[in-house]
Amino acid sequence: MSSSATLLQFEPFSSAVTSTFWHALSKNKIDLYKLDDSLVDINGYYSTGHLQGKSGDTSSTAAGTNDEAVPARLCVGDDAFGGKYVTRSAHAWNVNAIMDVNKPIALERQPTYTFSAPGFLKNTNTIEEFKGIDKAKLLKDVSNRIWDDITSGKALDQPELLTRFLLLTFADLKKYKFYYWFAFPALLPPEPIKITAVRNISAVFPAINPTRTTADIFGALSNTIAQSGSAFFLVKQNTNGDITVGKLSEWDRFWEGLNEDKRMVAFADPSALASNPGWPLRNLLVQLKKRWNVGRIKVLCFRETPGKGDVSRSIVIDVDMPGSFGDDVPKSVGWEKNTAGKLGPRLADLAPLMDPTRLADTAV
Amino acid sequence: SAREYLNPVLKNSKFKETGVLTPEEFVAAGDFLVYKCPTWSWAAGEPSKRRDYLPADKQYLVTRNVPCSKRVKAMEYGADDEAEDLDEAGGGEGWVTTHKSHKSAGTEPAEIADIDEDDGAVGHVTGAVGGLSIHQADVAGSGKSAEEEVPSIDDIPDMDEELELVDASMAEEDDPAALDTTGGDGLHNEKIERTRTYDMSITYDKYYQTPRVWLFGYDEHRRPLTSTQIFEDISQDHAKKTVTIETHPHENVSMASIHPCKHANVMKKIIDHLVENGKEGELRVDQYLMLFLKFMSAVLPTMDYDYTTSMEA
Repeated sequence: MSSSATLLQFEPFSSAVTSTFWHALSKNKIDLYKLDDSLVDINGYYSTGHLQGKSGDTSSTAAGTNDEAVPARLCVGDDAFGGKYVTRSAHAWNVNAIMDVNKPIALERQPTYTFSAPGFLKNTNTIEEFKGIDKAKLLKDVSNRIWDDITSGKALDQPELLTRFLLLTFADLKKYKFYYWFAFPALLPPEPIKITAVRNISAVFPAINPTRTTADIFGALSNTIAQSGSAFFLVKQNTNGDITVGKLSEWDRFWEGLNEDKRMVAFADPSALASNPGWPLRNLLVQLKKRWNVGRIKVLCFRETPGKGDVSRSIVIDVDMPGSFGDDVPKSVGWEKNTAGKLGPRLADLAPLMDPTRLADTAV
Repeated sequence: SAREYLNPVLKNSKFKETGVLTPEEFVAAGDFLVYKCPTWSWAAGEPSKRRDYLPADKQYLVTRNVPCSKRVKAMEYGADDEAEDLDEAGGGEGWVTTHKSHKSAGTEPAEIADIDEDDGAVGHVTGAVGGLSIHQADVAGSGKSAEEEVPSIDDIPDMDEELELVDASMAEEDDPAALDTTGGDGLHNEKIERTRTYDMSITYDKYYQTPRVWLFGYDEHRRPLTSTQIFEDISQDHAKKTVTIETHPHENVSMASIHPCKHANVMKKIIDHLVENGKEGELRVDQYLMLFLKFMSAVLPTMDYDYTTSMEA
């Protein structure tokens, strides 16, 4: 579409907390954390971008005339605490129960067709602490950890570390009100990143011969990605038309014999917009810039309607990353805007649905 | 409930005769649903609420972030032709014909009354099911037409409490690379569709021996919906008669639930209808939940959950 260089803009994540998460948090606060407000590991997940209201009708998804992109949701559910999930019977004085606390409950599973994002939970004890906490420092702490993982190479082996997020909460357990604020830290590149071209996936990977249709090629691609479970990878097309996928850590070997201008990185893209990638690409590009000083590269923004094998919303963008990183840790951004579109926290009021006294009114 | 606790677990299959399911059949039908519609998945729920007649990791089914872009109320009040549709299909005193209850726009859940599972509506549902590939438009009728616009935002709750928490000194680095998704300013032709969403789950009700649907809703800004708001997304006849707010059997959160007292009868009629039409060969118990969700789409016509498959698979 656009061939002139314009600023590359990313669709931010929209946080999506399930009701059961708040319940799990309440229990953990009472049974496990008590007044301890240190950072806790949690897990989030996201699916790839798709259009709304088309779930049952894959034939029309490619039309693009009536774009209704689903928001790029970063979901946090009751499975967020993984092995730290506490059962109701767990009390500090019960030794067996304490053993149970530390036993991972493998039953809580991340939904299929989603990609995991590790996060940190900071649960404050009072509303005053929630309000007064140094948010700039909190964001910087998490950003620095992402930067450390980028510079050490750890993120090449565990690329999900690039999508680390932060969840600041205050749980008002008496009123069943949950104040929260997400940050999705994005490290800033040395200079603004430009986008020089956008094409649909089918224009980039044509069927090379009649026996290998694009449907076959993309079907194999989505299977590979589903099996890998990774959200970031390297991509090239073989002479038989198949798209080969490699790990970020295989960078040098994977590109052997391939022209530099054919290199393509890919990521599971939560955005469904026709010319904007989603937020996870930001730290991936920073990784590429820092590690290999990549200038121009093609990016496959992989989008599959969950479970439907339809990848037609996927786009390939050409990006241009001028400049180089110095020695300093780059600045970062990422606090989520609230319902009023301002930088600020949100409130989930579950009193009508968790408060026993108010529930009695509606019970049968 | 005590009633559910005391009722013995159903052992022998009799879904074709009575429309009910054994726990094993529920699991088989759930496995099939998860296989066919991977946006659905099994959940273990609260360990303390585990039912021993179901596998520990298959206590109930859940699908999240189900979009719901329109209010049923707007559809039902606006579209007269929907009622005609249903009347044509059956004897008139429509099971989902709702206009009779217009005046009682109150929002308190009434006590449970009967669903009149008249043949017309059932025929309407099974007719579409018999057509092998299922499209929700069959049930929604003309309700999804363009004249119903984006939901009104009258009922956005008070945001003062959120706003007073904003730390005025909090300033971030300027970030022009972040796409502004809040405004619909003509910069981008396409828009991100922010709709209400629902977490929808299906549990096995041991007393009624049928699946049971539970709903937890969020508004366009991801705030939990009140029960009053949830009732706007349920066929008004059912919202008044058969929807209750109860604690989820596997979670400690209350949710809206479609009461299952008439589910077996309706499922029986749907199954009979398929048998009459010579589709008996295609009728297997693992397809029960696909049929059930099709039936539920008459109660929840604007919820865009996945139950699409070809029945021959």
